[in-house]
Amino acid sequence: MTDRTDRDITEKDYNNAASLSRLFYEFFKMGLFTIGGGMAMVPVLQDIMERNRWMSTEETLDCIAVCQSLPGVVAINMATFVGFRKRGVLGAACTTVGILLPSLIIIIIVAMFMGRIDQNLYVQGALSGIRAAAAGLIGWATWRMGRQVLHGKGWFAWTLAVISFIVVGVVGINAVWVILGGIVLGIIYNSIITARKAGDGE
Amino acid sequence: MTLIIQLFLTFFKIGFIGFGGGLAILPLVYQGISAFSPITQEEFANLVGISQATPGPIAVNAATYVGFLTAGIPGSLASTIGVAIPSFILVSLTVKFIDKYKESRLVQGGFLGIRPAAMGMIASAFIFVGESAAFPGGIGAGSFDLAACLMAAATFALAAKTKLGPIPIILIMGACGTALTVLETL
Repeated sequence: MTDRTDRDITEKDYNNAASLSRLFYEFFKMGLFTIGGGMAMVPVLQDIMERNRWMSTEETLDCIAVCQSLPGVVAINMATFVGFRKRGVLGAACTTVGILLPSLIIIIIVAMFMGRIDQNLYVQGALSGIRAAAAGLIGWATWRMGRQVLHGKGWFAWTLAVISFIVVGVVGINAVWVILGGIVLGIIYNSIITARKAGDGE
Repeated sequence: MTLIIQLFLTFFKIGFIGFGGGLAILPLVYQGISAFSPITQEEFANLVGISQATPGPIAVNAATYVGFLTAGIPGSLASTIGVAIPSFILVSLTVKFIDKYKESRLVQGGFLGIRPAAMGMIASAFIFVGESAAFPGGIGAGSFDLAACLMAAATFALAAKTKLGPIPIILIMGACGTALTVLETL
């Protein structure tokens, strides 16, 4: 019972309005300070959503899953997803331009004046620190989001999460298939429990 | 002008067919660009190195870099906008669809399965990213980076025990990495 009221409060809390300038600013910052894109952006995305109260952890996970399974650059997909969800086409334009702009500016500067900065020893040092930070942050995001999303969710969610981890992380199958499989299993599971609930009701 | 249009179309196509982004997209970039503008092995190596070492998504960096090499700033704009438009269209339509049918049993059921699957995917990303941090040259190469492991552990501790957000932590660890290099070269 208490569980349900807690949940209602969270869902409502995570529906804060987003101004267009704030959407642009957050995604510009994400493009500027993350290296590699894709999954390296997950901890930053989760932080933005939580700090601004834009999306609950569940919605953030939906966003990550959908963006990973659609074609295109995952980071752009994420930006468009959040922008569109919060403020429609204009919002999506702000977040997408926001995430592209740092790359555009930095790459043009590097190509014009700097050459192979990746071969610079100090840049390599910084990159090894940033890679380590990305690993630690994704580890933390896994722990934190997993606790929120899987806690008390029963065998179905846990089994699916563990299988998905093994299939993607150990076997090395493309994550798209895992997401699609998850959708199908979720639909089947949902119709079974709904049917069972309807049966109990009679 | 034709060069600009070719760049736009090439990256537009890559945006539509490239799954997963990042390094997976780079071979497509090479193929697409060699069709109309010769790119040497060395230029491609530069592209791979620089896209990974600069901030922002790898695929976007690669698009901007190739566009700039081929046709200057207008070229980089054309290829970057080209690679982004398919995402923009497909994701907007998908979000619209989800929001419209979010009460339907099918969509709700789908999300019941999508969330745990995504959780497992993020956990496996931890393995991949952790591996590239701990073994910079690949696992077989025998180059275990103890300092990177300590920095990853410190990152976890900072994220768990302090109020620091991910971006300040990334900057701190980048500075630590540079400082270590400075110490090593002394």
